[in-house]
Amino acid sequence: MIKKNKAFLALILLLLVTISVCAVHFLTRTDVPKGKIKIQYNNKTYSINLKDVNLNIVEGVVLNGRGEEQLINAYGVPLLRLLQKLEIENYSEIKVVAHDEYSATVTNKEVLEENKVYLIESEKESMQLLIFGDPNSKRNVLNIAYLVVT
Amino acid sequence: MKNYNLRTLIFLALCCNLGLFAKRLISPVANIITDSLHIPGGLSTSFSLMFLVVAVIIVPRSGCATIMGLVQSVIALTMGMVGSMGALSFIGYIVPGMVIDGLFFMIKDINISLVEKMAILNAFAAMAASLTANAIVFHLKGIPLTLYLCVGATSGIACGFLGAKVVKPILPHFSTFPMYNTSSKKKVVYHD
Repeated sequence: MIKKNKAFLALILLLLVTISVCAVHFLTRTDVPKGKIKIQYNNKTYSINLKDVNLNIVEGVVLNGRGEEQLINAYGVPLLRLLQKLEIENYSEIKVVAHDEYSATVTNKEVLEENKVYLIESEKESMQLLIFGDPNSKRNVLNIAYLVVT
Repeated sequence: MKNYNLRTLIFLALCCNLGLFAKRLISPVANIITDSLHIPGGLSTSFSLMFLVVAVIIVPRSGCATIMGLVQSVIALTMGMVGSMGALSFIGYIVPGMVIDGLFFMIKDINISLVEKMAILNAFAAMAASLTANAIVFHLKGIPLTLYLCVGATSGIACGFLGAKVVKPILPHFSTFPMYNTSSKKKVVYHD
């Protein structure tokens, strides 16, 4: 029984550590409300309401995790247009971060390439990064929270 | 392989499949929890690894979990269940198996209860799986990575408790297996 209690004690202790780390995580993370995307650039933070973004039909083919071609037909906006709207021009790369902290990086060259990098509407009030012709499907970040432009 | 009889192989295959498909079953619920914590998973993997730990406890042979991880990766790849790791998903299956085998080899003779053994194995396997996924896909750093590992370890311990509940009624049925009666090898004895 004492040994069983030791194992339970370890579980409770780890649970307390997890709760503490969780509290720190919630206090330190960039909080972005649903339906908005934040863009950090030159120590400034811009907030974009997704309802205000003019979305157009985006069509193309991407590769999924299994290497299969997947036809995309969704509403979206080129990332370049979004950045131009905020007058963001001098940058080398953009880190796209999801609500679960998953991230991917897009280079300036890729953003400038026509019909390549888009933010598309994946769910209601949620955007997804889409890079056409990219063999690395891991960069298609879902549920975007914020972009860090450097 | 010749030391594994048919019943053992069927049991190991069952554990492989249960581990693989149980993950898919509980993923939607687990994702709700991890989404609210703003981390990219970790809960369903612990549950999935519980079946590997159960198998290693019942069939205490060296390399058992690694082989099972390998089989799981082959099944996953052939069925297209590659997840976010893509073609590298086989690493994500094999590494936790290797951790379970290595750790089991270290703790099998230590006088601790079955529950504690399973909790340790499951927690470390879950953390190894989390670290592998992080190295291949997520690339988390700092606090999110710490939270991701903590959630993996905590759920790993909880699944260890659950695994011990599963093992206890099964173990007596497997105690007549050759591996438990081999005189040249040390018999593994578990206690509550």
